[in-house]
Amino acid sequence: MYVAVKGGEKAIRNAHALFDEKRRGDVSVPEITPDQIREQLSFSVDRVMSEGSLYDPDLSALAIKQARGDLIEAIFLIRASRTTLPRYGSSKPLDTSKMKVERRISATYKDIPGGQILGATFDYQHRLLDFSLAEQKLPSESVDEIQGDEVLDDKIPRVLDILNNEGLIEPASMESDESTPPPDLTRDPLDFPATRSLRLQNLARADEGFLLALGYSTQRGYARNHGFAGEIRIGAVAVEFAPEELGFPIEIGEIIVSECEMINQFKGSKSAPPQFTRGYGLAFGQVERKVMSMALVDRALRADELGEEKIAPAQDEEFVLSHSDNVKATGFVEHLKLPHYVDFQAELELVRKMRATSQVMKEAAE
Amino acid sequence: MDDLTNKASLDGGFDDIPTESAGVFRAVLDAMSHPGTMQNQSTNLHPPAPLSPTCAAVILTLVDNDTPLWLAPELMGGNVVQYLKFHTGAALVENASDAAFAVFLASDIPDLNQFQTGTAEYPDRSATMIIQIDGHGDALPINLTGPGIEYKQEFSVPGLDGKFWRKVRSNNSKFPLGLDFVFCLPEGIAACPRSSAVMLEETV
Amino acid sequence: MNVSSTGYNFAYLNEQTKRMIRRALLKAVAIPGYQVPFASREMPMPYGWGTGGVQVTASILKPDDVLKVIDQGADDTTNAVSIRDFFKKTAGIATTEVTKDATIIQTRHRIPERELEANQILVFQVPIPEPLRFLEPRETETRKMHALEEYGLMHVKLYEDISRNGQIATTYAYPVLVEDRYVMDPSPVPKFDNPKMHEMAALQLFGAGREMRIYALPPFTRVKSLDFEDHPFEVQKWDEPCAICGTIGSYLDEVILDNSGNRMFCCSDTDHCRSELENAAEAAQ
Repeated sequence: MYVAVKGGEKAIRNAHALFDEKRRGDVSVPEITPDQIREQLSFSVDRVMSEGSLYDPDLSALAIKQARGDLIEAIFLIRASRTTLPRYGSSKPLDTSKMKVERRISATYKDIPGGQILGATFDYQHRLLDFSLAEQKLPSESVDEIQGDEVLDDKIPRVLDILNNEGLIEPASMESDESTPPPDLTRDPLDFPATRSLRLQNLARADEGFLLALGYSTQRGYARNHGFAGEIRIGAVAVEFAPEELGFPIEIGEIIVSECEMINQFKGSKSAPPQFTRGYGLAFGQVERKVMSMALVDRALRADELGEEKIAPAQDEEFVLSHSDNVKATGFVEHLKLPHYVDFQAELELVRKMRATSQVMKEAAE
Repeated sequence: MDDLTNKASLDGGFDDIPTESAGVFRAVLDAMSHPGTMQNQSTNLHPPAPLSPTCAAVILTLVDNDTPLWLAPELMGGNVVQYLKFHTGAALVENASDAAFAVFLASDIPDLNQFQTGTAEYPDRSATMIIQIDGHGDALPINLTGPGIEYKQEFSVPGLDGKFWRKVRSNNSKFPLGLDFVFCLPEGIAACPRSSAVMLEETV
Repeated sequence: MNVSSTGYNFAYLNEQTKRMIRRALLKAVAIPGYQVPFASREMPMPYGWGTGGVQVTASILKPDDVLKVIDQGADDTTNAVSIRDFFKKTAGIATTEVTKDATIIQTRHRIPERELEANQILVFQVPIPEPLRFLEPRETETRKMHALEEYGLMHVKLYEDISRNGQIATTYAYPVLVEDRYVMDPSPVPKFDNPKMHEMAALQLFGAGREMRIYALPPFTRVKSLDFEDHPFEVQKWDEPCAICGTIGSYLDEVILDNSGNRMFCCSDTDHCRSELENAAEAAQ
């Protein structure tokens, strides 16, 4: 009888073993390898790197395999692994104007210096299931031909600089110079009000779906700020680090990032004339939807700074920043699976007692 | 600097950082949780003079490159600074109000008013005083009461006089703001958090 | 560096992280009941499943500690088993189910029935550390309320309960006042356990990982459950003894026995139940 309330170590072990078996699936189908995931499911890998806050395509691919394709679970695995890594310091700010661009588009001008570079994109594809993909094909060489050998300029001008030259858009803000280390919410707990750079760090790690919904809400009138995709660029940028003993920065590698600079309306205030304002998004990998949403939310969160009335969830810093992290969110939502019978027992007693009291009161009244 | 002094400041740290610093931390935690009690703590550290082994153990356990450190002038001699920089990576600050930790000797107490005592919204943003006690001088007996103490705790530290304890008493009157004190004696560690009320004999 | 068989540092966390948590713990002890912000890390278990408690335990563990982990008062609930295994694996420490043998007890939702001693530390897992959160969702506001000792809202809420239901309708996570200064959330322990917090001989540490807060009650700290003169604080009582060990006065879980709703009540604290049974058996001999 007492066994009824026992969890049982054996049951847990068996559940884990069953999970491993389910992950493998039908053994007559070849096992997927992390290499295949990294090469062929690269959008999944990029999302896990970006929200896992760790640039490591191999580990992300492994995490996706281990998580049976559950990306939030894979992000969680990456975050937990990240915890064990020591911190050597902060890199120099990335210079995305020197990006080796793979894709670069602007919605605000038909043609732009440096050109519109479509790169590999879903855009303009007809979303028709391609049944030919169901079959395994031999490696082909056609991709190389498509890619061509055109060398892109190593420094492509920014679209927003063109507007800036006319004074039509606010200058990009510089909150701090390079000598002060950037705020880091993985080292200091989030504090309100947050600075814009801290907000951006939070949004860069934030759940894509959450940002997408919030960004979408600003388009539907909840803090409407009418964004234009001024420029989206995706490509490799150099990471530079200045070890204290060297005293000068050295390049330690390259990472692929996506950057979105959104151009938004601003009616002007007592002190500022009407002009365009900026929203900014940047994250690891090719995560276009994420950085566009991020830029919309960043702009909405600048309500206080721009003297706008705060009327919508996307403008509410505490609400957005406190609920954007999917590892926290999934943990706390799913913790409702844990036993709560002690608390429930307390509530059960209370409801019984209150029902008894109300019965007595009712009888007394009759 | 010659090789010998250099070596002395690079050696003399914990042999096994995770387990040894865990032991030292528990002694500090016990000391802070039971104000005015001695938590015996031996250490194999060999810091350069005049830094004592107990004091070095507490610093190496709590201080790192996230915590600005203020050192008393007596400790600013080359070897101690080099030793602490190597083993903790801490940034030394001249300005006492920038310090998260301050280290000084009982024989020369600095002006305590210059250290941060926190704010009403963040009383934790305050400095911790690490005081090296070398066992010299009279030990004025005092009594402590407050959290961590069942009734009343008798306490005395060699070299700390009525003048010092009156400052600690006024520190307590600012609670929840205030400084926390860790005393590093040759035989172990004791502490007096801001929550402890100090009663001097004259007022007992 | 000491690396256990898992390839991780002693007790999983790296030393830099432990130092950060240790500094927060010392501040928490120095300011009883105040929630110290700390840079909580992602752990290999999910948020809401004890990451705060796990980080506190990992930061205070010594190799010679004996660890007990309970969830709902029991050592063998799934989450307790998982956390105990985690520390066995990453710290190589001894574990126990016997309350009196443990030096550190990590708990979710209960305080052991047996009185804890001065050489023990009780580590609570906390989901929502802010007692005022359900009255005011904004951190900026609740922080001000704590700074100004402005707790009127909480009293109003409790009093509304009384006028609506004839009693205070909070049965767990029942707010307490620490040393007449800070209102504190005791974590979701049933209010039955609140009186045990008052002047407990053991150090009590509270870790909230997702919310990034640590707070503490040093030994012998005064902890008062909020109440009113005409409605004094009361704890749950059961009319019957535990169906297994026969003890009266422990917190009882209700166990449904069959589809027709028959039930029994037995101790939530499994170690207490076991030792009461043993005592009874010895007495009978």
